[in-house]
Amino acid sequence: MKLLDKINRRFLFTSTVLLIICSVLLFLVVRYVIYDDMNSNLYDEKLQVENRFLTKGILPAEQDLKSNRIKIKSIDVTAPKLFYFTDTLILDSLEGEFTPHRQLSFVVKNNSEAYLISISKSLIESDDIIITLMAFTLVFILLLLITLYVLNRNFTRSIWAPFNSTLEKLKEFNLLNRQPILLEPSDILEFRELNTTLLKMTEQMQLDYDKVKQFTENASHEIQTPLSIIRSKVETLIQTEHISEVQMNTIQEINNAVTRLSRLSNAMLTLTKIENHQFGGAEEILLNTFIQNKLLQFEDLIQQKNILVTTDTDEESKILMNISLADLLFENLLSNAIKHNITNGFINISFQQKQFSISNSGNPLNVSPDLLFDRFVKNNPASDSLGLGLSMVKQICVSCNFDVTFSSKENRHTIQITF
Amino acid sequence: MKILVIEDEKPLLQSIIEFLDNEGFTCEAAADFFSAEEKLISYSYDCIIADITLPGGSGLSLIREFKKKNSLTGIIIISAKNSLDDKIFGLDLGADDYLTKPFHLTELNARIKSLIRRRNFNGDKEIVAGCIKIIPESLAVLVNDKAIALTKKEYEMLLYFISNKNRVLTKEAIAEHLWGEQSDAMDSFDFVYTHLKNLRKKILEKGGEDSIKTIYGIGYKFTSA
Repeated sequence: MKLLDKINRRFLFTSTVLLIICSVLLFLVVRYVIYDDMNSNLYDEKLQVENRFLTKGILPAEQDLKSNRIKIKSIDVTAPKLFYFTDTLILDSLEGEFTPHRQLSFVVKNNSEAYLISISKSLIESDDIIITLMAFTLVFILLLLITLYVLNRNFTRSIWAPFNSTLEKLKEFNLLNRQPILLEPSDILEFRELNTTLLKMTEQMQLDYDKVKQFTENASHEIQTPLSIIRSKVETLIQTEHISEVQMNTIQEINNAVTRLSRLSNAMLTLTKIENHQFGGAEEILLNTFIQNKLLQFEDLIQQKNILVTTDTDEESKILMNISLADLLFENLLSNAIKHNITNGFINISFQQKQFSISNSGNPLNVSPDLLFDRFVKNNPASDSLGLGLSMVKQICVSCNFDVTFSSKENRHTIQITF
Repeated sequence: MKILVIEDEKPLLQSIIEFLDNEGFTCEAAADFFSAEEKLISYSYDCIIADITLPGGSGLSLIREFKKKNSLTGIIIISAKNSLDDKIFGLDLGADDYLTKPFHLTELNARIKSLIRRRNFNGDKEIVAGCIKIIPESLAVLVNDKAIALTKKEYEMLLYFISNKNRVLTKEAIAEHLWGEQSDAMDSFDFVYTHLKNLRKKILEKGGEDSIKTIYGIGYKFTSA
């Protein structure tokens, strides 16, 4: 989830919990205060009544006012002197219904008389106060929280803006462009540190990348040039008259070795280039057309071995990858499928929902299928194939984040790629 | 036909010049940027073979500059770089062809002749070798003035032989000429022999001579007066 969403969510959750706790506490506290006040008033009146009775023998008059209902009951003089608070429902003539009252009942007595006096006060007003107070306070708290939330959102968005900008710049960064990364300066220490570190890191990456690129270009030139010289001299030699068959065969061996070495060096350098991510932007490639073209290029060889090729690809399917890499990938896949095929064999190509597979008939494997992806591993060690074809396929897939597997069942070998 | 060969590796330069000399071309050599530049400014050529990795300057810029002023001269780039991008780049610059090192001299020869044919508006419209006549414009082949039907590969093979008359062509060079990179996938060069056999048969059928000789185990040669 997004950073700001997470922050906001936490904030909202905490605020809500806080709100609930505060509300509950507020309610309890306010109620306690108000009821306590009520109780104190009742108790004071009790004291007043007691005092008047004891000094002057006068009892208060019974009354039925909202704020003061007094009931007097004569009781046995031997009754204990006690008092207690209760909450009762008393019929309020004004309201026309039973309403809650706080009642203090107490006994007053002198030598000859004892009375149970109950003073009740309506709680409606107090409850109203509580509710109003609660409502106002809650509204305030809510407003406060909302304001904080909105402010928080805006603040965090603008504070994290440099971070997001850095993130965008990182995504755009491409070693092939040879442009240093441009990060927005910031007055926040952590972001400054982040920027400095990223700058250093990308600079180093660029250096390393350039070094390897330079190496592959130089190596290619340095290796192929002497090979060209050897080949040209060999071919000049071939043209001379009076060469014996034995000599011609020797020359042929030299020629073959030159070809092998040249192919080897090319393949290894290409592998390095792929690993170094020197192949640039991806583009949308129409898979079916691409494969058909490749099949056309291999037409003669397919015919020579009388291989039956069947394709099952959707006309519209597209893949996203660099075109040179795509060329190398399918070249190697097809070349492999043909080379290791038997006469009158088959090749099946299919592409459904991002899953590509190519199967070919061939001799059973002597090597575990996974090992064939390693460099120089060949099913038949004696063959003069380089053993790099599948390594190339694997490397390209790794570089493009495609999944590739090689499986083999008896005489049927299948390579599957998930694009 | 005047050809300028620009290549900094002297042994290779020498081999190329020797070969082309024997083909009847008038050749000049340049082994670095400055002498190449000088020659290009002072003289005119029908065809230029250029290695783009030159000491002293970029071979690519040389080609770019040259192309601006002379659009008629054919340019073939020879280079160790063989990625698709490099080839596209070279051809975009205005080169007519791109050959990757190490290449077969016979291949270079065939490409030069093909280039000259394409660009030579006043030149010969037909290629004659013994009793065989090829008319590239219409892809027609006549043996003793009688037309024969050749497959695409047989035609290209015949043309390759005749362009390299009296030269030994290795089986490998023929395979690479006909199938390019895909020849990697071939088990052996027997395939070359199959096509050759068919070609020979068709020529002999029309009363032509058997001009294609087998050279021990290494290749073939089209012999002609």
